[in-house]
Amino acid sequence: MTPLDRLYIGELWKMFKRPMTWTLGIILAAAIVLIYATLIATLLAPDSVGVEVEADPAMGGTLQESLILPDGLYMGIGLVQLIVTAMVIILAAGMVGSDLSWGTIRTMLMMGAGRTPILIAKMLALVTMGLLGMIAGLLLSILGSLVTALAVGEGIALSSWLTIGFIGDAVILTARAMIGVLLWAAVAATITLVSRSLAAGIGASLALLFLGGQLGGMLGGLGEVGTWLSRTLPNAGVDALTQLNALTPPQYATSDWVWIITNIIGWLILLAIASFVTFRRMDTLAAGS
Amino acid sequence: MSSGVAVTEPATGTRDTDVPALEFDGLTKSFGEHIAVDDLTFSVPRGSICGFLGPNGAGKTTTIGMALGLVPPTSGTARVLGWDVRTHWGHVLQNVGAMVERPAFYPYLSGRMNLEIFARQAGIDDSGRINEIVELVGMGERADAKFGGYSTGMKQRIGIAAAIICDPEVIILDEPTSGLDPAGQREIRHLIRRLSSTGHTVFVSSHILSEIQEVCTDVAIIARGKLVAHGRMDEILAGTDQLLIEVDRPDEARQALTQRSDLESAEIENGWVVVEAPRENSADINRYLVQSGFAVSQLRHREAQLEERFLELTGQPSGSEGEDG
Repeated sequence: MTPLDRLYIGELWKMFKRPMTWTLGIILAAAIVLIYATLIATLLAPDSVGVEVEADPAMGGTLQESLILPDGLYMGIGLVQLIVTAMVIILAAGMVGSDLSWGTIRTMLMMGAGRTPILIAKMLALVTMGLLGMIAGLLLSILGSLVTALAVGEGIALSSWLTIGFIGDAVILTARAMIGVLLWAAVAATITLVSRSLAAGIGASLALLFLGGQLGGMLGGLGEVGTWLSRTLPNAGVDALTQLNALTPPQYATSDWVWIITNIIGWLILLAIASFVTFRRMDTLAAGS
Repeated sequence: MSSGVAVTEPATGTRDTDVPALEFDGLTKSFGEHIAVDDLTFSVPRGSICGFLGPNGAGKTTTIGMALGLVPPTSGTARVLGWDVRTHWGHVLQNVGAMVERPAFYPYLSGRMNLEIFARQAGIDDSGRINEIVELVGMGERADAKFGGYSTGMKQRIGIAAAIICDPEVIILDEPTSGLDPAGQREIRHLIRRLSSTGHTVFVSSHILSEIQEVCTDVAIIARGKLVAHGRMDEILAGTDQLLIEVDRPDEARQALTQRSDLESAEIENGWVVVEAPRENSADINRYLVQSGFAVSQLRHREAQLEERFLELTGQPSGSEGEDG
């Protein structure tokens, strides 16, 4: 086993043992259950909720069609990705910020771990946790779709949706979502490391996650230059990629793919450089003191 | 001495016993205008227990941080077992165990789990070794409680356990007995001696000077970032033995003693005449005073104290006004 393997397993082990991880897991499950319960209630008693349940072009059909499998997969992924991304941001900032504030980063270094392997192990562990969160959330959302089908009297009808194509779609949608999770984990970890503040890491990353779209829209309103400026935002590339996870995805031209890929890879490289340079120059003796 | 960060290769490898355990050469660290460590040059022999002393803010922890690669030096070199810390950091940390500042572990894990996780990270996956170390530092019964709930002394013990778990050749302990009760302090002193007797080099900083004097073979003293004394403990303390004399006319006796060419000074402290002289001169001084017509009622030897030497070397005022009788 290489030192990186040992660090990676150690990071995973610490996350599994940390109460915050389980709290976030419970919040993920509760949020999905609550959202599906609300949607099912809307379908069963639309008048009392006052929600339009008829055809919605954005969803590609009625709310019922959007919830029930196979189309329900797209809604499920979108829902789970947003919650998991927010949780990975909290986990990433917590993972880096706690090691700095407790001084455990110093203990790790004194036990012979290299600075670069520590950062790589942390990112790998975060992506693993994000993937586990996505899979668990996706399974819960599929369960939510099945319960919805039963509730509206459609029946489960496994053979109508559980096909190789469905599984393939689930894998592709999850992979796209994971690129976003990776980028947001890197954003949160880097902000926390550079600012040496857990609060700054969580706050700034969540603000970018939830307000980046609005900021991009405002910049887009400034014309051609504004549009290009909006494409430099860290959320722009992954947001564009995530739109492909919709039931009716946009068709991107080659020029669109160029900026999307450049944005995502560019930000990942930039964040990696900022993290490694900051960490290598960091006086870790001061950490936790 | 070096003006820049020297990059040197270990000439003979780390197993050469002539190579010092720790070696600082012109080591300097500045934080902006403030020079925390100023051109520090000294070495710690292998197998020794070296005390590292200095007033608060003297630069002890920064020096230790540079020896461990936690703090990049502004200039100069720190070597551990011949390896330059900056260029051979991995080799250095394979051979060094350390506890610096306060012990830092995960509060939501038990002491044992913390040790397991850091031991595994270092490539040790042996629960027997962890049990052995936990017992050695006296944490056998409390090792399974959460680290966050430990007292300062318990945290200190886990910190020491982590420092020695990989059985490193060089052990660096920053204030290891801080927060421990007297029994705990004694246990740690025993542990340090035991580690030294099995060939380990222990570099220990402490504010408890009597503890350093009792346990250390060597000592290095710094003040305002500069080295003010370094060497074997007996050499540092040499020439500071004192005789306390109770005599009927102390002022006249002091004057009579200053006539002697073998005594550098004689002073009065709380009615006692205090002269700097080795123990073997006691009988001669007693005879001299009696023959000079003084009535000597007590004459006793006061061993050289590191505390006094420390205060003298670091230019700090002494809090005590001499012997209290």
